[in-house]
Amino acid sequence: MKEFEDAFQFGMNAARAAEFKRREISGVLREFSDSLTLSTNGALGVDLRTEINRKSNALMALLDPTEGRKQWLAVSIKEEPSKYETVAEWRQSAEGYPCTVITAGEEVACYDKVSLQAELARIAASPQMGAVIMRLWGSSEA
Amino acid sequence: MTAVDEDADEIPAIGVAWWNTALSPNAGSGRAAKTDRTRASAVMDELVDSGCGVIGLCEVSKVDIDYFLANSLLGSFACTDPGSAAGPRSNFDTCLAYDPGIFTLVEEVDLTSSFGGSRFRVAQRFELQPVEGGKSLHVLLSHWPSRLHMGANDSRRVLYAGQLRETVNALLTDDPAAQIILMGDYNDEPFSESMCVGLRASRDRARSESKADLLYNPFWRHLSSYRRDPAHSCADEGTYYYHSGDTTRWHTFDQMMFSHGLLTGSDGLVLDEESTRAHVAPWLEKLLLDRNSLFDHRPIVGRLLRA
Repeated sequence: MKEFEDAFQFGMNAARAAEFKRREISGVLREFSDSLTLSTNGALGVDLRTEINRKSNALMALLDPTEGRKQWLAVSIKEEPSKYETVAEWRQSAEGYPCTVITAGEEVACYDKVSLQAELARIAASPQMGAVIMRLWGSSEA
Repeated sequence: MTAVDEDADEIPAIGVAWWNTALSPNAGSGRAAKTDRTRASAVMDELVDSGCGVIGLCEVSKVDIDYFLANSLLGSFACTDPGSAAGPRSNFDTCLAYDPGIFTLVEEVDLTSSFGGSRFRVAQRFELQPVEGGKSLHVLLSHWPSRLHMGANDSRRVLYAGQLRETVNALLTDDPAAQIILMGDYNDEPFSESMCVGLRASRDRARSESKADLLYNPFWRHLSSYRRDPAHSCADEGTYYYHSGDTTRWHTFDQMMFSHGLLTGSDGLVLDEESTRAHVAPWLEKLLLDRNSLFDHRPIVGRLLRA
C-alpha cells in the first residue's frame, strides 16, 4: 500500500511541476507578445496558432486529435486576430520543457526559462521577424 | 565513378563514411599544417575510391574543405559549409560531402539544445534525394562535447540524445519506414545511457528488425582488442585512440546507427553489415599511435545495398 501511496504522490507532484512550467512558458510568451505590442503602438501581438496539415491521415486524425496538427508562433493584428503570419514552428513537451522552436534551417530545444527567453529574443531580432512585423503593421494601418 | 557497381551481376551499393579528421576543432582553422591536410586528403581518396558516396566529416573548417575539394577525389563531390554558429562560442564543425551524381541535398537543419541560455550542438540533419528517384535518405551528423568538457555521467548527454531521438521520431511519424542514418563522434560508448536509453540504439539486429522504433548500432562489435587470428584486422578495439586513457586507450566514440527501414530494405536501401566497420589504413594506424600526430580517430564506413 505504501508503494502505491508514494507512486500517487509522485504523480501528483509531477503534475504540479508540469503545470508550473507550462504557466511559466505562457508567461514568457505573454511577455514576448506584450513587448511587440508596445513596440508597435498597440498594433501587433504574438500568440500560438494551430494549423492542420490537410495531407494528414483522416482515420488517424479520428483516433488522435493531434494528428497532422502543428503549432506555430504567429504575429497577428490585435484588432483583426484572423490576420496573422507564422514566424516559427513550436513544439512543447507535455511536461512543459523542452519547448522546441523551429525556423528555416534551425531547430532549438529550450530546456528552461532563460533559454526560451534567449531564443525568443534571437527570433525577435531576425530579419524574417522584422519583415513580418513591417508587413502586418503596414496592413493594420492601411 | 563513386557508387560501388563493380560487376554487372553485383548489386550496386552506396558507401557511407564518417571521420573526425581532428584538423579544425570547432571549425576554427589554424591547428592543422599543410602536411596534415595532405594526409587527410589521402584518407578522402581512400574513402571515395572504396565507393563512399556520402561522407560525414568532423572537426573541419572551410579551409580544410576547400583543400580537399582542390586536392583529393572529394573534388567531384558537393560539400556543405562547416562553421555555422551553434552558440556564442560554439560552431558546428561537421559537414556533409555527397556525390551529386547520386543525391541532391534538399534540406539542411542545425539542431541545438539550450540550457541556462547556453546553446549546445546536437546534430545537423540532412535530407538527400536520390537523383534517380526513390525515397530520401536522412543523415544526422553529430559531434557531442568531449568528456573533458562534459563528464561521461553528465545528464545533459541523455538530454542531447533525447532531442536527437525526437528528431528521429518526427521523421518516423511522417514515414515509419524512413531511411535514416545517424553518424557521429558522440564521445559516448555504444553502451552509454545516452545511446541505449536516450537514442534507443540496440546491439541486436533481429530485435531492431522486429521493433520499428529501435535504431540498430553495428558498432557494438568494436569493443574488444582480441584478434581471432593474425590475419584478422578489423580494428575491433575501437575508433578513437586517447594516449592518456586510464583503463583503456581505445574508445568507440564514432558510431553509425540505422533505422528500421534500412534494416528491412522495404523501400530501396538495405544495410550491408559485413562492410560496416572501422576503416583501416596501415599508414593512418601508425599516426594514430604517434603522440606527435594530431590524428586520433579512425574513419568508419558503412554500405547500403539497393534492395
